[in-house]
Amino acid sequence: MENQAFELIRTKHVVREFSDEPLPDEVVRQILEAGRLSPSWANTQPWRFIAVRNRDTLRRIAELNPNAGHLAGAALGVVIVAPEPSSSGSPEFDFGRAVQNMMLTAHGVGVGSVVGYLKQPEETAKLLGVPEGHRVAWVVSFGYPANKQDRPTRRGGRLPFDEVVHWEKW
Amino acid sequence: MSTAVFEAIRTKRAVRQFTDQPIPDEIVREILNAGRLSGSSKNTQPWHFVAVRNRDTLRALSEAGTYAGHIAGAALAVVLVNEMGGPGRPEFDFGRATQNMMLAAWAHGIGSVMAYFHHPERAAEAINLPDGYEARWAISFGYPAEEQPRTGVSPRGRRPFEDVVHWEKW
Repeated sequence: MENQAFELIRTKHVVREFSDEPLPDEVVRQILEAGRLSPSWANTQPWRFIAVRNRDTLRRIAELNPNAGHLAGAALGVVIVAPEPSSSGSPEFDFGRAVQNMMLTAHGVGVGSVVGYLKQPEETAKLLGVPEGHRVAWVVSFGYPANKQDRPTRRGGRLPFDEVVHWEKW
Repeated sequence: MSTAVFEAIRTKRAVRQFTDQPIPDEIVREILNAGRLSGSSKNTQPWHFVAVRNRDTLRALSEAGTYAGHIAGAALAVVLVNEMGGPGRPEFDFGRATQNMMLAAWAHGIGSVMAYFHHPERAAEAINLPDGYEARWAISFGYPAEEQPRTGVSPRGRRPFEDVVHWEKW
């Protein structure tokens, strides 16, 4: 019962350190398409994506948002922009779906990724020239994994199946 | 350049009408594992999944949301449960887990669609949720019926690439 989607889900892990190798344009485009084609609440598509490859811009976003420091070394950063007021009932949920599509597509071609939450959204928006009335929310770093073993900063692994799954009722 | 997972993302459609055919146990388990193995903010895994196949429970859940009627005919519903006031960012992380489960299912020809519970208290009652937990979303899964209803409420298609993606800055 081979399922490539499941194999990618099973083997995906966080990559925070990237090599200097740039991503081919068609890979960048496919990652962005995977986000664009994502389903959303009543098909509202409550997102815009800013695709950043300029090293200086990546570094400046990382400096503003230290928890997204991985961006400084990424080959590509995708900033999720939310037009406000949101037309979606659950924009955060929809962002999660789009981000997962992008990350799985990247993993499918050997590109690693990690999500960061932008803790300085207003300054980041200004840096990126995002007009007022829009909000920046999340950023995803993409790149080929650095050779050195990537070590998560937090406890890895997942809760056991029987702890997470309830059958029929709680 | 194409990968199976990108093709799944590109071709996946919401499925709201299902056949009576049950989903084999090992596929149900794979779908749930695809959710369980998802990435989440600081690996908080802020979720429980209640897997429902009992027809009466499915019918009760279908009455917990304005557009949740499709659950009544699903072969499987996965109810997304979070601890109220719990850690992490469950909304975004639920979006990621949902996309993993839907893509894992689609690879087996199983369709799916989201439901939002406008009446979470009814959903909680249907699955015996203890105090302190809430269920606001569920996913219906099943083999697609030949005839799919038109939803009538949502516009179709996705906005064009150039409308969604900005390069380097807004």
